[in-house]
Amino acid sequence: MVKVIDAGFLTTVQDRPRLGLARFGLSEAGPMAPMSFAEANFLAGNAEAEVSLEVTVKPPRLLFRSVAILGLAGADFGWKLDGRVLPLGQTIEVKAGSTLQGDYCRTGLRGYVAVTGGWKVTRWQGSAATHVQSKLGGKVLERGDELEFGLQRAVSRKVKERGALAMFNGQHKVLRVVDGPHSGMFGPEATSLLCGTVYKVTEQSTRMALRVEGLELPCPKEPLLSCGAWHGAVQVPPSGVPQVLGVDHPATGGYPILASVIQADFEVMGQLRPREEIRFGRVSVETARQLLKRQRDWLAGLF
Amino acid sequence: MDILRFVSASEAAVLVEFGDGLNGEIRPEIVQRIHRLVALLDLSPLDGLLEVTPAYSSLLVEFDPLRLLESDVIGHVRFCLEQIGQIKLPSVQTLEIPVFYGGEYGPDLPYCAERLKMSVSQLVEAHCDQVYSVAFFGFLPGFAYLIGWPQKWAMPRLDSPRAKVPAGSVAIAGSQCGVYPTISPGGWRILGRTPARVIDLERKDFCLFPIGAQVRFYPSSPSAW
Repeated sequence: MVKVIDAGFLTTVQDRPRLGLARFGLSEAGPMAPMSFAEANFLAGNAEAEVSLEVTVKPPRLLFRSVAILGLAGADFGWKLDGRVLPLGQTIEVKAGSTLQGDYCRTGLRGYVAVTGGWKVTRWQGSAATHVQSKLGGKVLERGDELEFGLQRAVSRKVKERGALAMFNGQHKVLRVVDGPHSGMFGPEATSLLCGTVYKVTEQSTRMALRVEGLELPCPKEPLLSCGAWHGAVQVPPSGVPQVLGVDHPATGGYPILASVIQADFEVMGQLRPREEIRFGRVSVETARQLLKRQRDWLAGLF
Repeated sequence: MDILRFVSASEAAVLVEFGDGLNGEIRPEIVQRIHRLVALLDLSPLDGLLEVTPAYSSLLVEFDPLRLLESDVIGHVRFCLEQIGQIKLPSVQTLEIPVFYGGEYGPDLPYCAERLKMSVSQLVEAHCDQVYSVAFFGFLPGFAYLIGWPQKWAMPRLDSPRAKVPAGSVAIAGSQCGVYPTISPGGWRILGRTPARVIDLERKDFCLFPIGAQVRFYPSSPSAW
């Protein structure tokens, strides 16, 4: 059992996305940085995606009342166990009575705390993922909460190439996009404009949408009936400043969708920090598939 | 009506569009066709097809691009569309929803009545006389867009939305009607409030209104509850 001494900036329970409720207006939720989520579960010795904690900006302080085996991945929070700095990319054993804590993220924005056997949070509609805006499903951690976790077994794993981590280090991050369903409604130059400039991530970014500031794009004038929305959709509201929908996106929306961030870049997108500069880059659907395959193969190689 | 377009939305999603642009117009027969397509897709699951999101004139279909090609998804949707009319679908549910009209529960009732040159009781009667249909969901989880409020009585939204609209508020905007599932900001004109719980985590479908359901409102008072 774990006691939450401090909940951090925003710590939520995440799980595999909850599918099938878009028809009731509820989007899938789940991890914003899916590669780090998978890596944390691998390090914890879980065979597949188990219920994990998504840590944002500033990590929680957790007191372990019983032994645990953890996988920590994603943003570098300078994790410490009883004041001792923890190595990255390997299974962590925790003794009863130990405290896990860290600092504001140094690289990236989101990290995951996975535990062998997963955190025991009731699954609702097939998933324990937290849809943060509506508070439906899962749980947002609060000070004083007590969390149980699954059965323990001995595990020792390492990640050799820190593939997921490499993706959010360095300057000039690029979110690659494919054409969206309404790209034809925009002028022919709109995608070139989107991809030919630098945007700055703003503090208003959430799991619902990545918000940026920068060049205003020309907007189509024709009225548009709302259509389904999805993680990665690059909407252009009347202001002309694009926004990219996250996993807690509204199920439908009336803004035209110029482009869509490819799934292989969801990890990069989920790790973007406020004030970071990004570019968009256009790729083909086939390239998007190849990049996703490479990423899944890397993950499959881990397990 | 039968104009159908498949538009690539991303490497993992295709948008099935009905009608042609429609110029922002809502067409009930198209809404119904989309609901039938959703029911047919439910009846014939396809491995790798992950999520469907209906709207007024389109259905978004999301899939795993490493398990399915866009052409597989389009083929499957076409196959299902061919079954429309051949397969008996579950009958449409009818829901009767109590509403406390006016007063603190429906602050915009007097304004709307005046604008439509009706008495308050005539407006309540008019609102209860319509049969609404659950078109699709958006804005908030559990927020259903109900169609059936006559266009001739279309109501403009508030100039500046309220910061907090109570859960259960029954409101109109344009020719749409909606029930706020949770407390939220909102710019629709509020006629009343229902004590019915729009979303309930214990219910299998979690939301009171399934797509396609018919909805009727009836006047009630808090003392009846």
